[in-house]
Amino acid sequence: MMMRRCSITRFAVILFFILLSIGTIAQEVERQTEVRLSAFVDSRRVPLNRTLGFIVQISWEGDLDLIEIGEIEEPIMTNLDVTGTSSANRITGTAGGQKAVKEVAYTLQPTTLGMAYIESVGLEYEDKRTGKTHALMTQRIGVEIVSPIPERNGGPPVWVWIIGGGVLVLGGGAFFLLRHRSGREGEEEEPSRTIEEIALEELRLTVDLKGMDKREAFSALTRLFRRYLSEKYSIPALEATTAELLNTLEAEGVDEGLRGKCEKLFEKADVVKFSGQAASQADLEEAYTTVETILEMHLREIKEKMLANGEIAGKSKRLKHPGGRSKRTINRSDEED
Amino acid sequence: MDKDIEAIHKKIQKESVFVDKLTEEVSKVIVGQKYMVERLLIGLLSNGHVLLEGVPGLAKTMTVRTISAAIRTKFQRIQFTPDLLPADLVGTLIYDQKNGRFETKKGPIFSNIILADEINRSPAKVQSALLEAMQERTVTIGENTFPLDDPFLVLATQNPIEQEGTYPLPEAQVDRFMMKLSIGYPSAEEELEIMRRMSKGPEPKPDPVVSPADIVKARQVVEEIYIDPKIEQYIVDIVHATRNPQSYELEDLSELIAYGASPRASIYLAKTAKAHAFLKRRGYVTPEDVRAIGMDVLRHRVIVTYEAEAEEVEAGDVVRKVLNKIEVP
Repeated sequence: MMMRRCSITRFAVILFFILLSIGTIAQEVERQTEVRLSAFVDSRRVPLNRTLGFIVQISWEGDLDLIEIGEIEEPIMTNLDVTGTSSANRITGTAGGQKAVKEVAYTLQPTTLGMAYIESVGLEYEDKRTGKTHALMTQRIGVEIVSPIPERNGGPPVWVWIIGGGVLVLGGGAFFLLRHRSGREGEEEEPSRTIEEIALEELRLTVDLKGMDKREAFSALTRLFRRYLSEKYSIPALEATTAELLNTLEAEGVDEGLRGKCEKLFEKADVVKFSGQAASQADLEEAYTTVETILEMHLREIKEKMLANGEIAGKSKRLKHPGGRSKRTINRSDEED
Repeated sequence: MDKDIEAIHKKIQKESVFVDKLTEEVSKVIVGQKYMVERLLIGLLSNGHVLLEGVPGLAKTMTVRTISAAIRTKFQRIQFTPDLLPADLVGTLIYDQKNGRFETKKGPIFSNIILADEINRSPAKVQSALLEAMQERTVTIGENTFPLDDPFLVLATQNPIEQEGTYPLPEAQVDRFMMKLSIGYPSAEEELEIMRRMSKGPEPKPDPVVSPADIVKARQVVEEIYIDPKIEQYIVDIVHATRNPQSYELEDLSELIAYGASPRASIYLAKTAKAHAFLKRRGYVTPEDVRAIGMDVLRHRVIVTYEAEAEEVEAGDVVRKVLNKIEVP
């Protein structure tokens, strides 16, 4: 009897512990939430000239705030560059309840042909119900980078090009019209000067008949006049000797009267400049007057042509800036000179 | 600053009379070739040796011979051949059996005007012997050094087309020549006159109308000719432009010039410009004189690169560009 009572007590104790264990395990299972970490790419083959999507996804059953996700490690990659990232949280309904999903998406640009690898991405999370921290890790992913694919030639439809072109032409035309008008207004307000006017001004400013050394004055005078001739006839007058210059003027069809004046002027200037002799005031004044007369004569001729041809002709042979080898614009009336 | 140009003018008028006489005598024999005759006179007046380059038959030798004949001077023509020895040129010591001593036998170089015909046909040792005498104006035979006569002028010729069996003059030796003339063909009218004259019996002979003393006096006047600092600067600019073309807005020449002209070029440009002014009966130098003579003084002193040769650009083309680019004062 005693033996039988003892066995029953032993059985009851064992059963109690078994039931207690089952209850504890069931409670544990109920409390621990299943968290899934997955990583995937758009494609395992990507052309060199295209981008690749790489997504790291964490999901679990239940509310979003059930799990606290730690910082997701930056993926370590070879042969790929991160060009963009984005993240999203969402909850989807399931048969038994709801599912929370957190996604981090990376846009990757291949760098060279061959294989590219995305190393494992690690993640830590805390289960708020249990207060425990867990760690998860994705798999290493390999991607093949293939030759770039040709770009699409088609582009936008033809009508887009036609409309766009039309808009550009109209816009450009309007812009140039406005600019031209404003330019003309500007010209009318402040007309550019002829090379004769500039040379005359320079002559009066730089050649001082009384204050300058006469040899220096002769040098300045001939240099100015040579520069004027080189502009007027587009000849290398500054680099030519007197004889060469006179021959060039003859070849350019310059009339004999002017050539005679030039010959006399330059020959006299050569004597003064290179013989070491003192020049007389009368010689200098004569040379000055010769240059001034020629310039004024040419200026008068141009003005007469301007009057004869109207306003537009008057805008011939303009120097953009005084002195030196200035640029000039030549229009039809110049060619007639 | 004021120079007595009138006095120099008068001297020029007096001392340049021989130029007309000489030119007249030369024109009895030589038709045309005014350029060559004028340059030879410049060489004579500025005491500088001249190298004449031109194809055969252009009267190079005849012109030199005629000028020499018109001047009462000792003239020697030396035909340079591959077997010529320096002793054949400068002289040597010969043992005299009668008195048992070595006697100096002077060579043909002891003359006033030397025509070194086809100078590039002799080997370097003969060329060196001549060029040394040209520079030093003395010749050493054995233990004795002998001064050369004054005037002493070497007029050398070479043919640019035959290169086989020739010994081209090295650049350093060509530099010793004051001028290198490029002799061209005569015009059609000149050639007609040459043909008529040469087919009419014996070759005309020039009369000796000028004495060496006339030339020495004329040289003194040439030295007195005034050269303004502006002209001197112009000469220096031209020579420097061959060395640093990029500094004179001639960047396109940088790749074409291996070596620019030496300072000897500046010296010779000034001297020859004065002689040119003398021939024009002018007591001062103008840019005209420098431009007229610039090519002859510079063309053998500018060494072009391989790139230039590949592009068929010659030293003369480079010099022409430089002369056309530098502003006259």
